[in-house]
Amino acid sequence: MTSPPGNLFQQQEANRRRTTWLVIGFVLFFAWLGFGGDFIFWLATSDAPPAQYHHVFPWFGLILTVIAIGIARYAYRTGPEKVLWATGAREVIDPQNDAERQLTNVVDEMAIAAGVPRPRVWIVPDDDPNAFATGHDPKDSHVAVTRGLLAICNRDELQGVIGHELGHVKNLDVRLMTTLAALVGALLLIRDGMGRTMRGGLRLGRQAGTRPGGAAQAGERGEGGGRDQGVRDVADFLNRGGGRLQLLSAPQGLGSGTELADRLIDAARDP
Amino acid sequence: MGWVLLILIAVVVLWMVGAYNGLIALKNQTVNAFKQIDVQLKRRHDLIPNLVNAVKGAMDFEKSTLEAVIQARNQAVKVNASGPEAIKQISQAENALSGALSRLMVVVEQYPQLKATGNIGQLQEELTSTENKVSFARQLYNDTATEYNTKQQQFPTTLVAGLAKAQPADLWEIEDQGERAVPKVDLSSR
Repeated sequence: MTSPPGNLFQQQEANRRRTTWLVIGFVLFFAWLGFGGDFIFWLATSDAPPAQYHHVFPWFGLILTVIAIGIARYAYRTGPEKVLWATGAREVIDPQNDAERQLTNVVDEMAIAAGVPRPRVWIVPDDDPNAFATGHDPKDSHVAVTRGLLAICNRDELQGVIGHELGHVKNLDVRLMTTLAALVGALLLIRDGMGRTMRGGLRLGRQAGTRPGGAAQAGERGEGGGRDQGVRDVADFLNRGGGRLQLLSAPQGLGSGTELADRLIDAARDP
Repeated sequence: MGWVLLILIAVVVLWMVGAYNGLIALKNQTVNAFKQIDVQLKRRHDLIPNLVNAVKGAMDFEKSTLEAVIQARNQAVKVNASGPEAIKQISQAENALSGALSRLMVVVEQYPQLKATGNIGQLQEELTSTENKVSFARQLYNDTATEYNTKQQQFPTTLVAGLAKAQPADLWEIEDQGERAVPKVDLSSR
């Protein structure tokens, strides 16, 4: 990402604007998915006989939009703590040794130099030298460095690194990047969760379909499918739904639920 | 015709309010930045007795260096000036203290057994940090004061500068001519 030209205030403005557009884009994407689904469903049911269901009210779109707004709001508010949590960082409140004392001192100094409130200081238990900043604005900001960075940097080098991170805090890069990270993280979680339940659930559905009542055993044998109770519960739930899937799909010539499941599993394995 | 005049007056008044408030904000920021230097100087004054106590035993034969530090420190604490002379007086006393401290640190470097005792290292770190904090606080003050001075001298803000009672703020300068000298650089490997 290239920095916009201009002074501090222009950069802050640009980062505020980009954050807003990021959130709007995220919500619009979900709205597009939902209302698009509504549209397709509406097309599919518009020719149906009058007695059958006609999809008129755009439920999917409305629900997905509300969910997206909720996710964006949650991601924006809890982004910094999620980012810190993901790296396993621990906060340095009361420095315990010389390196930590030096780190907190250097952060104090650079905060004075930048004229911003002192950010909270974190250490990431990682031997690669690295550092990052997160937060919403200078009043609520965090600077984290890795153990490896503390080990290889002398005082002046550390000062340079911290100064750089405080620059990110001051021109609001942190707001944009933290929101971006939190939203991408949320999307990945959704994708991952859906992928897992699809794969795990359908595999179990297939095996249980050939051996009725064998869902629990199948879960234990399936590769990764039976790793924990949560996945097994979801699989069980979907498995029961699988029976209905079979009933629904058989008359339309789609084959039995087992065959459908096979095809879906192949699709899920090789997207 | 009448309302054109009215709009013009309204625009001018609005601009004056904005410019006036901007100047007042900058003035207060300058005062605040100056107080930040005070905070850091106070820290330094509080730290020095600890440092002197820690090295006193091992440095009986360097008494003059220690005494210079103590004297400079007491001198700096005593300065309680206000008004336009404040910056000059404070910076003179503090620069003297900086000089005495750096001489003490040079001496401490010459006594490896002194450095080996744990809390000298810690005190040295604290002292380095405090010196940095003082100089960064000065830098912030100079930046803020320069912004304030530039604003009140530039046209058209200068037209309301009198109204806001804006006075050019003094910058923090090096008083000691010795500190202006280019430091000798020694690149030989230790």
